[in-house]
Amino acid sequence: MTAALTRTSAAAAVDVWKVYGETEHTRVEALAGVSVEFERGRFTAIMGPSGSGKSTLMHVLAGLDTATEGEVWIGDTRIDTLGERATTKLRRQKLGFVFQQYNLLPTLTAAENITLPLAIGGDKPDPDWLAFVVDSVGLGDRLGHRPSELSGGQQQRVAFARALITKPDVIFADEPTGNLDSRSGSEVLELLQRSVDEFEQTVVMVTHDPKAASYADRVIFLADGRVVGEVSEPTPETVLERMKRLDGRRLEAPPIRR
Amino acid sequence: MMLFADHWHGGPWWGLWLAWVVLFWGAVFFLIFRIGRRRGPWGPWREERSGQSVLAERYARGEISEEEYRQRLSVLDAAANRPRNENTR
Repeated sequence: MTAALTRTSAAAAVDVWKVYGETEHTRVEALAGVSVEFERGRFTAIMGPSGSGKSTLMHVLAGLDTATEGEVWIGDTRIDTLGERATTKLRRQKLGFVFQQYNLLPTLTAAENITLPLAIGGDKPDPDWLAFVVDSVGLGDRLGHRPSELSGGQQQRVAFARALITKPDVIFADEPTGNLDSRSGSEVLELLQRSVDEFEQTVVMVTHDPKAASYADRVIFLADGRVVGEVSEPTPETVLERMKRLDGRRLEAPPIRR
Repeated sequence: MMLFADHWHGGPWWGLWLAWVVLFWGAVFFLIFRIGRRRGPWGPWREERSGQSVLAERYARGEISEEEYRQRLSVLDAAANRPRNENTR
């Protein structure tokens, strides 16, 4: 695995372990040897039941959490060996985030929230790009509103625009539709999809919802900290069917702890 | 008396005065520079500052929620108010 290979993927994990607890009795393997690559310009969903390690995997990939063992790559940079300062810088330059709770600043307007990452970096927004991003979230005259005056779906679209504004290499989305009704959720997912189709944004989304996962180009299934399968060009039906099979398998054969 | 005053107008005393002025302004500019950059070459003050600004940036970028931001900020504040040798693990 360490043989010199040029990394063409946007993000990758190579035999990544995340282990909590020291003794045999307290040992919990949140990730147990996960190897996965995320191609550029693609929308990949990570699916699995709660406790499968999908959020942990996303956090490790994004440098928000550290792996116990294994390699983590963002583009051609290996991030598990970087220091905290360098990781922070890399996140600022190359990654965007969308979380279930939107995490918008309540005292700022939608427009201010969107441009804040640029202001922090000391950059002026490219007016064309800003116009495009703002237009694509479809907020129109509500841009001057505070988050509390916007619906959940609108807030999440603002959060996505904020992630998009710095032109990140990868956008990580953790259950972005978890708090939304199905119509608002669809709007957010369509926006994610459009960013991939129209300007080759790379998106990695964690979800437990088969319908949300069906918007992706590819779905990776996680169970008990392991990659247990994947589906390309998913539909809600194929995802659901695969989920059921995995549940069945888990009941028959409990995972082997090492 | 006249001899003494003459020393102020030239000679070694003037040189000393010049050195003092240069040192004084050097110190002022150094301090302004240090505060402006929000980080100096030493001291715990620098670490706390950068810890808080990193946290603020992560909050602004949506990496952490408001609740998480407040929690972590209070942890940093608590650590800053403790003697230095205690907060190094």
